[in-house]
Amino acid sequence: MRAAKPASQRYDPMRPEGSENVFVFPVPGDPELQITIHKWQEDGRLLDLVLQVRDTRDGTLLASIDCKHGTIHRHNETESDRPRKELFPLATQDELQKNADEAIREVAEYAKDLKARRGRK
Amino acid sequence: MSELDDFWIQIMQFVARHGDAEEFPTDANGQHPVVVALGDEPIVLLQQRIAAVGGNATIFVRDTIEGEVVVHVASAIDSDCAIGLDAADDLVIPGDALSTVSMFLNHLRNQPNGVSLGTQSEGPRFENIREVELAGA
Repeated sequence: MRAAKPASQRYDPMRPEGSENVFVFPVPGDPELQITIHKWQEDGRLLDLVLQVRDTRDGTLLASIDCKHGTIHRHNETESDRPRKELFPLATQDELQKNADEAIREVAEYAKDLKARRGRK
Repeated sequence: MSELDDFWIQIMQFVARHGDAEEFPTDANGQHPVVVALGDEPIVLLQQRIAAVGGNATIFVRDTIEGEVVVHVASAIDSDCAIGLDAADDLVIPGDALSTVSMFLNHLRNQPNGVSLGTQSEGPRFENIREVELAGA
C-alpha cells in the first residue's frame, strides 16, 4: 500500500503536474513591480502557463492569469476579483501559446497602468 | 507603450514560447530573472536593472546594427557566485558613464571569457552572448 502524499504534493486540478520554472520580468521603470511567468512542462511538453503581477515590496499578488483554465484574478479590484471563466475555453496544447501571447499583453498593460497610477500619487 | 515596453512584452512572449530554464541564470529563490534594454540606453541603466533583481539575470538587448534590428541575449552572473572570475576581463565603468549598452555588447563579443562590469571594482560578470531571432523584432 502506498503512503498518502503530503498535502503539498497532492494533485490540484488547477495545478498541472510536471515541473515548474519561473521567469521573472521587472516592470521597466518600476522594478518593484514584477511579472512572473510560471511555465509547467513535462517531458518537454508545455502543460500550462500562469502569469502573475506582484508587488515585491510586500509580496502582494496583484493579478494572475491562468492561460489553460482561463481564470483571471485582479486582487486589488473588487469588481473583477472573481475568477472569470469566459476569457479562454480550456486550452489545448496548441492553443496555450496563443492564449499566452494575449495574456502577456494584458498583464503588461495592467502593470504599466498600475505603474502610471502609482507615479501620479 | 514605449519602444522599451514593446520589446519587454515581445521578450516575455518569446520566453513563454521558447524559454529553456537551463539556459537562464537562477536567483536565490530558484527563479530566472530576465532584464531587457535597448542598445542606445546608458550602460548604467542596465546595471541598475540587474542589481534590482539581485545580480543574476538573463539580459535581452534590442539593437540596430547597420540599419537592421538585432536582438542579443547574454547572461549576467553576480560576482559573489561567478566561478573563474580571474579569467574574465574587468571593465570598470564610472557611475556617470555615457557608454551605451550597445558599446558594451561590442566589447563583450570580443571577450570569450566574459566581462566583469562594475561601477567600482566588481560587478556582475557577463558571458555567453549570442543573437536570437524574434518574430517581428
